[in-house]
Amino acid sequence: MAVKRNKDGKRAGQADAAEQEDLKLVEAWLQEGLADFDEQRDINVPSSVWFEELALEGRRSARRKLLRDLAIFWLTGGAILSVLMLMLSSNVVWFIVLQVLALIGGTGFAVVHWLRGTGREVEQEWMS
Amino acid sequence: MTEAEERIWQQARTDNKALAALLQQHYPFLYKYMLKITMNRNLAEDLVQDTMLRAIENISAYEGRSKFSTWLIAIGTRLYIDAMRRRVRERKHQEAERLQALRSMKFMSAAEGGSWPEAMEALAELDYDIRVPIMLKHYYGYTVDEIAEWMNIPAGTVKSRIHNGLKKLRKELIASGSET
Repeated sequence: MAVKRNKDGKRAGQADAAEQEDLKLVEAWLQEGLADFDEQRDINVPSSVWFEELALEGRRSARRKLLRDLAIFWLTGGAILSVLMLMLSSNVVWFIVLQVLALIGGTGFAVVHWLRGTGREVEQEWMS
Repeated sequence: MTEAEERIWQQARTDNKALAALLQQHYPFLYKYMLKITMNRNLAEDLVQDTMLRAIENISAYEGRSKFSTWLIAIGTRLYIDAMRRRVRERKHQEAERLQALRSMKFMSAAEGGSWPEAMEALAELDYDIRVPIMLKHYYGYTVDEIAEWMNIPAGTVKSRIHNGLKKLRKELIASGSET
Protein backbone atom coordinates (compact mmCIF):
# COMPACT_ATOMS: atom_id res chain seq x y z
CA MET A 1 0.00 0.00 0.00
CA ALA A 2 2.83 2.29 1.00
CA VAL A 3 4.60 1.52 -2.27
CA LYS A 4 1.41 2.24 -4.21
CA ARG A 5 1.04 5.56 -2.39
CA ASN A 6 4.64 6.41 -3.21
CA LYS A 7 4.09 5.54 -6.86
CA ASP A 8 0.92 7.65 -6.93
CA GLY A 9 2.73 10.47 -5.18
CA LYS A 10 5.56 10.25 -7.71
CA ARG A 11 3.09 10.26 -10.58
CA ALA A 12 1.25 13.25 -9.09
CA GLY A 13 4.60 15.02 -8.65
CA GLN A 14 5.52 14.33 -12.28
CA ALA A 15 2.11 15.62 -13.42
CA ASP A 16 2.59 18.79 -11.35
CA ALA A 17 6.06 19.34 -12.82
CA ALA A 18 4.66 18.84 -16.34
CA GLU A 19 1.87 21.32 -15.59
CA GLN A 20 4.34 23.87 -14.26
CA GLU A 21 6.45 23.42 -17.39
CA ASP A 22 3.34 23.96 -19.54
CA LEU A 23 2.39 27.09 -17.61
CA LYS A 24 5.87 28.50 -18.22
CA LEU A 25 5.36 27.87 -21.93
CA VAL A 26 2.00 29.65 -21.74
CA GLU A 27 3.67 32.63 -20.06
CA ALA A 28 6.31 32.82 -22.77
CA TRP A 29 3.63 32.49 -25.47
CA LEU A 30 1.63 35.30 -23.88
CA GLN A 31 4.63 37.59 -23.56
CA GLU A 32 5.63 37.01 -27.16
CA GLY A 33 2.09 37.57 -28.49
CA LEU A 34 1.52 40.73 -26.46
CA ALA A 35 4.94 42.12 -27.36
CA ASP A 36 4.12 41.50 -31.05
CA PHE A 37 0.83 43.32 -30.62
CA ASP A 38 2.55 46.30 -28.97
CA GLU A 39 5.28 46.50 -31.60
CA GLN A 40 2.78 46.51 -34.46
CA ARG A 41 0.70 49.34 -33.00
CA ASP A 42 1.66 52.70 -34.37
CA ILE A 43 -0.10 54.98 -31.91
CA ASN A 44 -1.22 58.34 -33.18
CA VAL A 45 -0.20 60.64 -30.33
CA PRO A 46 -2.20 63.90 -30.18
CA SER A 47 -0.33 67.18 -30.43
CA SER A 48 1.19 68.89 -27.40
CA VAL A 49 -1.51 71.59 -27.68
CA TRP A 50 -4.18 68.96 -27.06
CA PHE A 51 -2.37 67.78 -23.91
CA GLU A 52 -1.92 71.37 -22.70
CA GLU A 53 -5.64 72.04 -23.13
CA LEU A 54 -6.43 68.79 -21.34
CA ALA A 55 -4.12 69.77 -18.46
CA LEU A 56 -5.70 73.22 -18.26
CA GLU A 57 -9.25 71.82 -18.31
CA GLY A 58 -8.32 69.11 -15.76
CA ARG A 59 -6.89 71.64 -13.33
CA ARG A 60 -9.92 73.93 -13.79
CA SER A 61 -12.30 71.04 -13.13
CA ALA A 62 -10.29 70.05 -10.01
CA ARG A 63 -10.53 73.65 -8.72
CA ARG A 64 -14.28 73.70 -9.41
CA LYS A 65 -14.71 70.42 -7.52
CA LEU A 66 -12.71 71.77 -4.57
CA LEU A 67 -14.80 74.96 -4.43
CA ARG A 68 -18.01 72.96 -4.64
CA ASP A 69 -16.89 70.63 -1.82
CA LEU A 70 -15.87 73.61 0.32
CA ALA A 71 -19.23 75.30 -0.30
CA ILE A 72 -21.08 72.12 0.71
CA PHE A 73 -18.88 71.85 3.82
CA TRP A 74 -19.51 75.46 4.93
CA LEU A 75 -23.25 75.31 4.18
CA THR A 76 -23.65 72.05 6.14
CA GLY A 77 -21.55 73.44 8.98
CA GLY A 78 -23.65 76.63 9.02
CA ALA A 79 -26.91 74.68 9.05
CA ILE A 80 -25.76 72.48 11.95
CA LEU A 81 -24.60 75.51 13.95
CA SER A 82 -27.90 77.32 13.34
CA VAL A 83 -29.89 74.33 14.62
CA LEU A 84 -27.64 74.14 17.69
CA MET A 85 -27.99 77.85 18.46
CA LEU A 86 -31.76 77.61 18.04
CA MET A 87 -31.90 74.64 20.37
CA LEU A 88 -29.64 76.34 22.96
CA SER A 89 -31.92 79.36 23.07
CA SER A 90 -35.15 77.38 23.25
CA ASN A 91 -34.34 74.26 25.35
CA VAL A 92 -31.02 73.78 27.20
CA VAL A 93 -31.77 70.20 28.28
CA TRP A 94 -32.30 68.98 24.73
CA PHE A 95 -29.20 70.89 23.67
CA ILE A 96 -27.09 69.01 26.28
CA VAL A 97 -28.67 65.65 25.30
CA LEU A 98 -27.82 66.31 21.65
CA GLN A 99 -24.24 67.27 22.54
CA VAL A 100 -23.75 64.06 24.58
CA LEU A 101 -25.21 61.93 21.77
CA ALA A 102 -22.95 63.63 19.23
CA LEU A 103 -19.92 63.04 21.46
CA ILE A 104 -20.75 59.34 21.90
CA GLY A 105 -21.48 58.93 18.18
CA GLY A 106 -18.30 60.71 17.14
CA THR A 107 -16.12 58.72 19.55
CA GLY A 108 -17.73 55.44 18.43
CA PHE A 109 -17.16 56.26 14.77
CA ALA A 110 -13.52 57.23 15.43
CA VAL A 111 -12.86 54.00 17.36
CA VAL A 112 -14.48 51.79 14.67
CA HIS A 113 -12.56 53.62 11.94
CA TRP A 114 -9.29 53.25 13.84
CA LEU A 115 -9.90 49.53 14.51
CA ARG A 116 -10.66 48.82 10.84
CA GLY A 117 -7.43 50.49 9.78
CA THR A 118 -7.29 53.76 8.01
CA GLY A 119 -9.01 53.55 4.65
CA ARG A 120 -7.79 57.03 3.88
CA GLU A 121 -4.16 55.84 4.10
CA VAL A 122 -4.84 53.16 1.52
CA GLU A 123 -6.42 55.77 -0.75
CA GLN A 124 -3.44 58.07 -0.32
CA GLU A 125 -1.02 55.23 -1.01
CA TRP A 126 -2.91 54.45 -4.22
CA MET A 127 -2.86 58.09 -5.30
CA SER A 128 0.88 58.38 -4.64
CA MET B 1 13.04 57.50 -9.78
CA THR B 2 16.03 59.31 -11.30
CA GLU B 3 16.87 62.92 -10.49
CA ALA B 4 15.79 64.06 -13.96
CA GLU B 5 12.43 62.26 -13.64
CA GLU B 6 11.88 63.80 -10.22
CA ARG B 7 12.63 67.27 -11.60
CA ILE B 8 10.10 66.78 -14.43
CA TRP B 9 7.45 65.49 -12.04
CA GLN B 10 8.00 68.37 -9.57
CA GLN B 11 7.66 70.81 -12.47
CA ALA B 12 4.51 69.04 -13.68
CA ARG B 13 2.80 69.65 -10.34
CA THR B 14 2.61 73.37 -11.00
CA ASP B 15 3.36 73.90 -14.70
CA ASN B 16 0.76 72.93 -17.32
CA LYS B 17 3.30 72.58 -20.13
CA ALA B 18 5.47 70.20 -18.12
CA LEU B 19 2.42 68.15 -17.14
CA ALA B 20 1.25 68.06 -20.76
CA ALA B 21 4.70 66.87 -21.88
CA LEU B 22 4.74 64.15 -19.21
CA LEU B 23 1.29 62.92 -20.27
CA GLN B 24 2.20 63.03 -23.95
CA GLN B 25 5.30 60.97 -23.28
CA HIS B 26 3.24 58.26 -21.50
CA TYR B 27 0.29 58.33 -23.91
CA PRO B 28 1.37 55.43 -26.20
CA PHE B 29 2.20 53.19 -23.23
CA LEU B 30 -1.17 53.86 -21.57
CA TYR B 31 -3.10 53.54 -24.83
CA LYS B 32 -1.52 50.18 -25.67
CA TYR B 33 -2.25 48.92 -22.16
CA MET B 34 -5.89 50.01 -22.42
CA LEU B 35 -6.27 48.43 -25.86
CA LYS B 36 -4.99 45.10 -24.56
CA ILE B 37 -7.12 44.93 -21.45
CA THR B 38 -10.35 46.27 -22.94
CA MET B 39 -10.07 44.69 -26.42
CA ASN B 40 -12.27 47.61 -27.43
CA ARG B 41 -10.85 50.63 -29.24
CA ASN B 42 -13.60 53.10 -28.28
CA LEU B 43 -13.60 52.09 -24.64
CA ALA B 44 -9.79 52.24 -24.59
CA GLU B 45 -9.80 55.78 -25.97
CA ASP B 46 -12.40 56.92 -23.43
CA LEU B 47 -10.48 55.33 -20.58
CA VAL B 48 -7.16 56.85 -21.66
CA GLN B 49 -8.74 60.29 -21.60
CA ASP B 50 -10.46 59.65 -18.24
CA THR B 51 -7.21 58.33 -16.77
CA MET B 52 -5.31 61.40 -17.90
CA LEU B 53 -7.98 63.75 -16.52
CA ARG B 54 -7.93 61.88 -13.21
CA ALA B 55 -4.13 62.09 -13.15
CA ILE B 56 -4.25 65.86 -13.80
CA GLU B 57 -6.82 66.39 -11.04
CA ASN B 58 -4.76 64.39 -8.56
CA ILE B 59 -1.22 65.29 -9.63
CA SER B 60 -0.60 67.01 -6.29
CA ALA B 61 -1.31 63.69 -4.53
CA TYR B 62 1.30 61.81 -6.61
CA GLU B 63 4.38 61.59 -4.43
CA GLY B 64 6.68 59.82 -6.83
CA ARG B 65 6.89 56.63 -4.77
CA SER B 66 6.15 54.58 -7.89
CA LYS B 67 6.95 55.28 -11.55
CA PHE B 68 4.58 57.70 -13.27
CA SER B 69 3.61 54.92 -15.72
CA THR B 70 2.71 52.63 -12.79
CA TRP B 71 0.58 55.39 -11.30
CA LEU B 72 -1.26 55.81 -14.61
CA ILE B 73 -1.77 52.05 -14.90
CA ALA B 74 -3.18 51.98 -11.37
CA ILE B 75 -5.67 54.75 -12.16
CA GLY B 76 -6.59 53.24 -15.54
CA THR B 77 -7.08 49.75 -14.11
CA ARG B 78 -9.38 51.09 -11.39
CA LEU B 79 -11.42 53.04 -13.91
CA TYR B 80 -11.73 50.00 -16.19
CA ILE B 81 -12.72 47.65 -13.36
CA ASP B 82 -15.33 50.17 -12.13
CA ALA B 83 -16.69 50.60 -15.67
CA MET B 84 -16.94 46.84 -16.18
CA ARG B 85 -18.64 46.28 -12.81
CA ARG B 86 -21.24 48.87 -13.80
CA ARG B 87 -21.69 47.21 -17.20
CA VAL B 88 -22.06 43.77 -15.66
CA ARG B 89 -24.88 45.19 -13.55
CA GLU B 90 -26.54 46.63 -16.64
CA ARG B 91 -25.88 43.49 -18.74
CA LYS B 92 -27.73 44.96 -21.71
CA HIS B 93 -26.34 43.77 -25.06
CA GLN B 94 -23.04 43.16 -23.30
CA GLU B 95 -21.90 40.06 -25.19
CA ALA B 96 -22.97 41.38 -28.60
CA GLU B 97 -21.19 44.67 -27.91
CA ARG B 98 -18.02 42.87 -26.81
CA LEU B 99 -17.92 40.74 -29.95
CA GLN B 100 -18.59 43.76 -32.16
CA ALA B 101 -15.74 45.69 -30.51
CA LEU B 102 -13.41 42.73 -30.89
CA ARG B 103 -14.26 42.31 -34.58
CA SER B 104 -13.67 46.00 -35.10
CA MET B 105 -10.25 45.81 -33.40
CA LYS B 106 -9.22 42.84 -35.55
CA PHE B 107 -10.39 44.64 -38.66
CA MET B 108 -8.43 47.77 -37.77
CA SER B 109 -5.41 45.65 -36.99
CA ALA B 110 -5.58 44.00 -40.42
CA ALA B 111 -6.22 47.36 -42.10
CA GLU B 112 -3.06 48.74 -40.49
CA GLY B 113 -1.13 45.77 -41.87
CA GLY B 114 -0.61 44.12 -38.49
CA SER B 115 -1.41 40.60 -37.38
CA TRP B 116 -3.68 39.52 -34.57
CA PRO B 117 -1.58 37.28 -32.31
CA GLU B 118 -3.10 34.01 -31.10
CA ALA B 119 -2.33 35.10 -27.56
CA MET B 120 -4.63 38.11 -28.00
CA GLU B 121 -7.35 35.85 -29.40
CA ALA B 122 -7.08 33.57 -26.38
CA LEU B 123 -6.99 36.49 -23.93
CA ALA B 124 -10.08 37.97 -25.54
CA GLU B 125 -11.97 34.80 -24.63
CA LEU B 126 -11.21 35.27 -20.93
CA ASP B 127 -13.38 37.39 -18.63
CA TYR B 128 -12.00 40.86 -17.97
CA ASP B 129 -11.38 40.10 -14.29
CA ILE B 130 -9.06 37.24 -15.29
CA ARG B 131 -7.47 38.92 -18.32
CA VAL B 132 -6.41 42.03 -16.38
CA PRO B 133 -4.44 40.29 -13.59
CA ILE B 134 -2.79 37.90 -16.07
CA MET B 135 -1.53 40.80 -18.22
CA LEU B 136 -0.46 42.91 -15.27
CA LYS B 137 1.47 40.02 -13.72
CA HIS B 138 2.90 38.17 -16.68
CA TYR B 139 3.41 40.94 -19.19
CA TYR B 140 3.94 44.10 -17.14
CA GLY B 141 5.55 42.34 -14.17
CA TYR B 142 3.53 43.94 -11.36
CA THR B 143 3.20 42.16 -8.03
CA VAL B 144 0.10 40.31 -6.86
CA ASP B 145 -0.29 42.85 -4.01
CA GLU B 146 -0.25 45.79 -6.42
CA ILE B 147 -2.83 44.12 -8.66
CA ALA B 148 -5.01 43.24 -5.67
CA GLU B 149 -4.96 46.87 -4.52
CA TRP B 150 -5.84 48.25 -7.95
CA MET B 151 -8.63 45.72 -8.51
CA ASN B 152 -9.85 46.05 -4.94
CA ILE B 153 -9.86 42.28 -4.32
CA PRO B 154 -7.83 40.05 -1.94
CA ALA B 155 -4.35 38.93 -3.06
CA GLY B 156 -5.46 35.28 -2.79
CA THR B 157 -8.23 35.94 -5.31
CA VAL B 158 -5.73 37.50 -7.71
CA LYS B 159 -3.47 34.45 -7.39
CA SER B 160 -6.29 31.98 -8.04
CA ARG B 161 -7.62 33.99 -10.99
CA ILE B 162 -4.15 34.08 -12.54
CA HIS B 163 -3.64 30.38 -11.95
CA ASN B 164 -7.04 29.39 -13.38
CA GLY B 165 -6.63 31.80 -16.28
CA LEU B 166 -3.25 30.36 -17.20
CA LYS B 167 -4.72 26.87 -17.07
CA LYS B 168 -7.47 27.94 -19.50
CA LEU B 169 -4.87 29.49 -21.78
CA ARG B 170 -2.83 26.29 -21.60
CA LYS B 171 -5.86 24.35 -22.85
CA GLU B 172 -6.26 26.88 -25.67
CA LEU B 173 -2.60 26.56 -26.57
CA ILE B 174 -2.77 22.75 -26.59
CA ALA B 175 -5.98 22.86 -28.68
CA SER B 176 -4.53 25.29 -31.21
CA GLY B 177 -1.33 23.22 -31.36
CA SER B 178 -3.27 20.05 -32.12
CA GLU B 179 -5.32 21.80 -34.80
CA THR B 180 -2.24 22.93 -36.74
